[in-house]
Amino acid sequence: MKHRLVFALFVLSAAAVFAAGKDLPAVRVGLEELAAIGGPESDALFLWTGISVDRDGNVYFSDALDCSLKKFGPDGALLKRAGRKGRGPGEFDKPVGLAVVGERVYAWDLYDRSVQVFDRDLDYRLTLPMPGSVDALAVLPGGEIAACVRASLVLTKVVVFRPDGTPVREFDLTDPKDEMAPGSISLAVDPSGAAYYGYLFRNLVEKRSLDGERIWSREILGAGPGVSGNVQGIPLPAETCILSLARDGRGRLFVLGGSAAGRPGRDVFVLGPEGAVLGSFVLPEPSHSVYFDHRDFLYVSADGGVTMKKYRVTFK
Amino acid sequence: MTLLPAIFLAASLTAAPVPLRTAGGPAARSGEAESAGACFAVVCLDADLLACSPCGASLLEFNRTVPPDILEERVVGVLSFREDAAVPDPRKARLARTRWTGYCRANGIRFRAAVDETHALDPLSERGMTILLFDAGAGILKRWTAPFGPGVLEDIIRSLSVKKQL
Repeated sequence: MKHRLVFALFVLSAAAVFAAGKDLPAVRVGLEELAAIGGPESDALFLWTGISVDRDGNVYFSDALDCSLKKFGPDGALLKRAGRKGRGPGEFDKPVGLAVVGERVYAWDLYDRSVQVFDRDLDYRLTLPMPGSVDALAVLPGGEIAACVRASLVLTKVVVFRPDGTPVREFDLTDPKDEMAPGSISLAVDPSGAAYYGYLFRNLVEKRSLDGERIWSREILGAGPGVSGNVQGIPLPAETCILSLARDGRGRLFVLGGSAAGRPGRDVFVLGPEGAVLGSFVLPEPSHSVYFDHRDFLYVSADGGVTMKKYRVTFK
Repeated sequence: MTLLPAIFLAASLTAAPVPLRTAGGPAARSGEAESAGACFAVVCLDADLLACSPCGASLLEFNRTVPPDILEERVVGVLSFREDAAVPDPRKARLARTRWTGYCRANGIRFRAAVDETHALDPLSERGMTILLFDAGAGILKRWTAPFGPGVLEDIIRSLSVKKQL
């Protein structure tokens, strides 16, 4: 990994942070850039979409532009590139996410109703059929896996399955009678198995139990996305709300705001486990994603997905 | 709108060596005598739309249908990219080149492309993809905008297959 001069950026959310008109408490966050992968002069990454870090510090990406999965060592060296364009085993049309769970790497495609399973060397193993395209996937404390699956334009289900693909249960996350499409949904899980969901097209973050019972929900931004048109009679939002969310080891939830936030892809809202908004900070560059590894390092994108940057986050 | 960059690009296909800063795709080839005097195509693309599968359908069809020797010798891409006119950022052009490299790797694109840092051809790629057909004198003979209707690709192949008698 290309080590950079340690770069300390203290982003002070001023006493009055205006996130779409909403006053938030001040929170002072230090972002220390530790490393980066890719960049405009590199051909390592072209448009990375999903990221996951294994227990050894290897970093895995799904790349939507060259239809591949990539594995980088802790030092940033490319160890393996797998996958190619196609619809067969080990192939992708537009890979949009991946997650390392134990010895397995689960990867999914925007246009495919399945999850493909690879080993940690990125050798293809099997394909697990899903009832729709997958938005997000996370491992539950007992080893089961939860996936947000888009069954239709408005209906997203949570499908829980065992690592071998055996279905365990599922529930509807959205109401099929909803007027507005929810868009892709971000997912994070805490040690109790409770899950946090963030909606791309809704000003909404919520926490639900293992069985889908809503524990709390919060509107993070000042307003909803508005409507710009419709597809098949379903209104389409004019803006994006929640691009991504991630949970750190201390139980804080980091929510990345979309275009409905003041600074699209840069405003990060920090919530406590019970949904209290602790404050917000601003990323140096727009990102499509926030991700924490098991050591609580923050990974975000830069340069429109050509670069990944790794930060140490400190609260003052 | 000036077409000078496109004319330069098209003309460069006949001149040796090619002075373009190309991005990905097949390696730049030096000019080949048999190409001199023939027609050339300039494919105007929006680099920011390369990740959009539906937007890229016409490009892939073009790359799949046109014979490889024609793609390699008589076609050049021009990549546009979005940039704040008030704050030019050289990284944006480099990012466009990088994206093209990745796109070529996944899709087997067989023609070269250059990044239009002048933004002169931006309007031609606003809606995805435009193909300009030039004669040997760099005059525009035809223009097509994607999605292509029936017979367009055959027309393009026919036009590019005609070699001027030396």
